[in-house]
Amino acid sequence: MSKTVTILFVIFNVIYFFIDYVLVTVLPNPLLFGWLPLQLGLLLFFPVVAAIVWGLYFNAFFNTQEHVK
Amino acid sequence: MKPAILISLGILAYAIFIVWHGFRSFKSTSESSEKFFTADRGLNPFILLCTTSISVFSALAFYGAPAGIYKDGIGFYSNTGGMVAALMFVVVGYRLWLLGREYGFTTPVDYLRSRYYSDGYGLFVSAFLILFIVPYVAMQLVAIGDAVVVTTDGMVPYVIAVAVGTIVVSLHIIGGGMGSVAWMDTFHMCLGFGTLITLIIYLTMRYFPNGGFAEAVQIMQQNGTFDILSCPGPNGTFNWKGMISNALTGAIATVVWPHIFMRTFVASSKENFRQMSWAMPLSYVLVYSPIVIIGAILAPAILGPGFEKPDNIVAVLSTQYAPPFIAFISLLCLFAFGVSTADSLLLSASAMASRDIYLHHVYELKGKTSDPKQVVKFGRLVLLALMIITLVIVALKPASITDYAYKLSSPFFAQILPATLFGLFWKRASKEGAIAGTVSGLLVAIVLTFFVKPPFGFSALVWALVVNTLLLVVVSLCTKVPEEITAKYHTRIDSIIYSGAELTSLTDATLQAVNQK
Repeated sequence: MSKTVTILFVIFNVIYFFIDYVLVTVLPNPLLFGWLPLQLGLLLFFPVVAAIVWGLYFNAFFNTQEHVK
Repeated sequence: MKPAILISLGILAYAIFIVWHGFRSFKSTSESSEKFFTADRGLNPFILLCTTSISVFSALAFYGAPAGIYKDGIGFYSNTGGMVAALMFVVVGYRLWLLGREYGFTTPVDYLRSRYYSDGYGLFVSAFLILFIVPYVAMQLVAIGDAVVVTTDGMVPYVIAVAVGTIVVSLHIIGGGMGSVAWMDTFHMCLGFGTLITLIIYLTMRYFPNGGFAEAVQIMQQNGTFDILSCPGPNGTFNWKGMISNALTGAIATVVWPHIFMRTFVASSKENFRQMSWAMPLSYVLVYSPIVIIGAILAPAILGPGFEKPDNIVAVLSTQYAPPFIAFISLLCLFAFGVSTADSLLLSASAMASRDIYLHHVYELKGKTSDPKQVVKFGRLVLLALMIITLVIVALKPASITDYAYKLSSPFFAQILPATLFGLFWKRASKEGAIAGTVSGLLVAIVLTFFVKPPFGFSALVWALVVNTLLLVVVSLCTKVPEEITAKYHTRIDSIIYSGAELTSLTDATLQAVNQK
């Protein structure tokens, strides 16, 4: 894994967890689609973005582990 | 036939199915402790995903999370910690899995005892983990027992319900060990998800036919429960400090809970971790979103504000606001969450008692060769003993003892987190540091849970982990780690991960073969 990719991965996680634990509590809270408050939407569906990024990163990482049977 | 009778018969059929499933593999699991406790380290990615995810969700998630959201708002969802458990399961779990393969580890204590080269530390950790597993399991069964009484309208008495629940869970594990637990967890994961979706669809179509969730939210705006849909919530609980405390309690330390920790050792290959990295957070989203919608939207819109017993909202919604069939499947969902957590925890307690206490102290330390069948037999006897202790606790419901112990279970389990992480990633983490950190963390958790209000708005667990970590680091810096430990746990593992060295795969079978030569 290149160092740049690892650093970008760490930065993504810092931002992600900062939004999920801290920023979400002070964000405005308009209703989306008439029923979904923005804060709830972030809490519920932002992890899907995280899942995609984690999946991509670890897929690349485990490609470097071909020798581990 | 009365609905209560049909529901009781349904529960009986479910109980028989679980016990039968466990005892199907009784003979084959009797042969080796490797098979009984780790399913021969052969769980495929889908099974590992289901058994890990559903084991995290307890009966309290199904009943407690909607109640917590109804009381304190959507910030309660932070107990998933942004699905951080999934990230940690891969980051920490892959290294633990490599260690498990390399040195034959099966339990958290196996790893901690060896990494910190201390039998005393291992014994101490296994004792407090086993001790606090029992009240946690008891709480699952109490939740099931209470729900059965409500759902069957009192036809099945509480004592009978918890007795059946306890015996069924115990016999299921005694019969089939980890393999059986994992397969049943997979069934429970599908069952739990399916029933949650059914419950939501029914309640939405029945009570909000003209606009679904939008209609429900409009009702919330009028009935004074709209604050539930925002942070920090109606009681101001979930500001950022509350969110972090809740995430630490419910998510960040999850990976070191004994039953989740053990799952890092049972993966069949590294592919499990590759797939867990994206599938585990998605499975959390899939299962937890319906739970949140029940607590945040459906319950406040249907029940209104100030519902007297918020802990019962799911039971009340499914029994008083839905037909018997929905009540029955909701009960099955509770079983799914409760049984999956209880059986996994009991199995981990049995593994620690039999491998880390009995096998290690009676055989290994005395240089005797162990008989795998004997270890499995002992593990099953431990499960029987735990079954009886749990049965007494859930039947008598000694409120103070159980409640105190339950309050400490999660903070206590979490106290092995610093030792686990530093042991994996910091060469200088020493035995003295681990002991000082763990003991101080436990003491701080007790003091701040029962005697002193935790300062600055953070929970007892946050402070316990801070003190634990600080002491571990400071004491480790003042002490030395033997070179062979660094070579075994850092140089060797780093060489596998970063330099392409091959894995040895030392398991019970190979150890026994070596011993017999």
